[in-house]
Amino acid sequence: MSLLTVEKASFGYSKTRLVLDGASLDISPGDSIGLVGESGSGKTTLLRLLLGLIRPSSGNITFKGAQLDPANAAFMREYRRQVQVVFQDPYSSLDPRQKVFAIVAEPLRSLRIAGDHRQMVTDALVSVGLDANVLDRFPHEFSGGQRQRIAIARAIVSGPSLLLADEAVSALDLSTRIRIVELLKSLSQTMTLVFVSHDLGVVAALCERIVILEKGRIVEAGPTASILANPQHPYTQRLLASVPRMPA
Amino acid sequence: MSLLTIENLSIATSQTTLVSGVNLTIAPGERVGLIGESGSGKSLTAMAATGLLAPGITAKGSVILGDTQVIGASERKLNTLRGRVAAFVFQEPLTALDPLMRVDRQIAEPIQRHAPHRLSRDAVHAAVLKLMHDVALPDPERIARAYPHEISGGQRQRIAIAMALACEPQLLIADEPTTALDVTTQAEILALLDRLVRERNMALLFISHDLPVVATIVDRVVVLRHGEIVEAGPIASVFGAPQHDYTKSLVSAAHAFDAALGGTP
Amino acid sequence: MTAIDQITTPARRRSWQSVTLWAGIILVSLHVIVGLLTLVWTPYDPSAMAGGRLEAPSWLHWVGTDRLGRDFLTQIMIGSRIALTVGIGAVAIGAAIGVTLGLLAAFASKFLDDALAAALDILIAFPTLLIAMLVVAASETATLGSAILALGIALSAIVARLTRILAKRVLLMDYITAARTSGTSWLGIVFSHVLPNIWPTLSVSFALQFGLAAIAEASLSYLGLGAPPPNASWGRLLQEAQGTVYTAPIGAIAPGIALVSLVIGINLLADGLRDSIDPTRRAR
Repeated sequence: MSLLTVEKASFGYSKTRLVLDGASLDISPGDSIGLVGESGSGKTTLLRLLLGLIRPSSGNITFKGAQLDPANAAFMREYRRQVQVVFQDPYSSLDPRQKVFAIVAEPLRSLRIAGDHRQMVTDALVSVGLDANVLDRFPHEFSGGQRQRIAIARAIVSGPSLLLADEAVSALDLSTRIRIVELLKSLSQTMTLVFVSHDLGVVAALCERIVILEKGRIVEAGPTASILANPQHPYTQRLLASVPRMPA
Repeated sequence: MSLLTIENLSIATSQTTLVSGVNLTIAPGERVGLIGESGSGKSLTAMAATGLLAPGITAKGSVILGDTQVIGASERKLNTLRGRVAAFVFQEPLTALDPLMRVDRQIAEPIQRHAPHRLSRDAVHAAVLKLMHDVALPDPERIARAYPHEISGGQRQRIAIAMALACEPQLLIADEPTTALDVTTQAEILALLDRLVRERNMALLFISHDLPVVATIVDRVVVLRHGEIVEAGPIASVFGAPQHDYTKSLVSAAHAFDAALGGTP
Repeated sequence: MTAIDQITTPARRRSWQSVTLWAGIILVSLHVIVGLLTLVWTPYDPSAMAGGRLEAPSWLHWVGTDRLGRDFLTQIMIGSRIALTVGIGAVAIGAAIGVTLGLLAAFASKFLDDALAAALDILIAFPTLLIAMLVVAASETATLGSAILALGIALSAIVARLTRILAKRVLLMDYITAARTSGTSWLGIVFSHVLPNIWPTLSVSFALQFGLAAIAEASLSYLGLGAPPPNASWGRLLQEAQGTVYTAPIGAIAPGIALVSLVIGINLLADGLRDSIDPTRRAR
């Protein structure tokens, strides 16, 4: 059974100009999928639909067979627990006036998840490679890579089955980026991952499947290896050819 | 004689040292990459080359651009160097352009400012269109009348490059010029810079955190970390056989993403 | 874990900050102590003739007496209490109305936000004092309470507009989206994210408005629209001293100094506080 299904989802601010046009996507448990596109591809809109932050103008999204309905409070509480997100900019995604404990514990508090929150937060921090003694510090005391680890800890603290990432490594330096990719890769062993990015190299390193979006439409989708080796759509070919390579 | 000679450059605020002991020379027509992560001082070093440091930040050492000592030079003297000897292209074309000025007037500005005598309107317009043609902007007559927000990011960066070319500089300093752009646009802008630098026989100082991008456009790189040079040399040797641990970690990270993409399609 | 970059605080800046903070604390607490003291003790009965008319400063009357022979220092001390009461009351009312309206506008749909923003801009176009005079004029008798209410309402428009702008900026941050995807309610977002992040700027603005309110109350009293006697407002003292300003200038100078020292004190305090309650500034 699929975990999350998107059926012909469209979104637009007017009928004539769709930001996302009839996107269909089927995510099975354990998948790691990269949604790849450039600016204006609709990848961020698709992510916001998956997060229930906006509703599709037409089409349908179902989670474990039940319709994703932002107005259904009981459904959304369970959905939020199951589906969490990591954002691009670790400077904007952590409240500068909250300490690490409050930041990471927010899903536990807001979703009224029972248990020893301090222990759960500590466990989450340790599993993203941070010391437990960071609980009482403020975000500005950390580097970009460490902040992104805190953001990932917040996303996994509720024990989600699906982790969404929005350009989650694009704002990081190269040496930090590879470590966060490795962290996400290890997390993807235990949960489903949807990784939205413009960076084919990162997606290729992280995801088993790739979905290519262009101007609001899905133009190609398939296993990473076959798309990289044998891209079918002209846009995919152009995208792949545009990626700068290291000299041999 | 070299075009830019930086010797023992240190840059500091009243509290902290940001760059120290940097040496760098660029000969006419040479292409050099300045690699570093955030906070490495790579942009500061480039800014110091034309005396563009913010107030409160001071540079020590020696920076000779053309035949002028930049450190300690008057603004007036520096203004004759900027644009003509060395010109900048910045990361974010939207903030580098004036949002309230049509594109043609922005390109015209450096042309008029550095012209030896007053140019007629037709001459300026012709020069603007010529520059827009040189940076391969489609439909130059239409784009010339547009405001920066009305054109795409790639087109804006082409405009910024055209402005930098206006005074025919001997050295083009490009500070992360493709970082804010889409991958396909980045490839176009890199190809454009490559062609322009070759055709106009300019020297290029290309600043970036992105190793493969740097590798496509320069011959020689300087790796900065925490304001100090850790390694320098030709691309082939620095990327092929890095000596310093930091460079090794960068190169291996870049290779990891590269390898994930498989062989060149 | 890699080492965390330490950014050291420049010593010069910190010491200057603490000088302004302490100067503010001293000036304001002087007024607070004096104001509280008047509740239980004043040098003389404020309404009694304690000496001759318009006496010059002496050991018996440190700041002299007014034209009715009442002790001037007593009146100025009571003036501190009135100014503080009006300042605190007006800012509290202005903050309660203003922050609520500002947050509503920031969270509202575009249409409601535009309407509220336009209404606030119109209100702000009227001088604070004019609005306060209209409110006082609308109430039957001028009491201390009506002056406070009037100034509070006048200030609320300024607070609302500032709150709206600050809150909108915070609402754009990713940590708000993260809070929404973590199931945090809108009210939760207001209290755990929006208010803590706009508070440093708001509190500085409150202090500035405290100063505004103190000056505006003096102006209202000067115009005869403020607190009625026996509330010895500095503004009324100034007004009463107007006729004798050449013969007994101390009557105008003393309340003036009292008013200025309170307003400067509260501004210095605000500047110092802003830096100490903001964790990002504290470390830098």
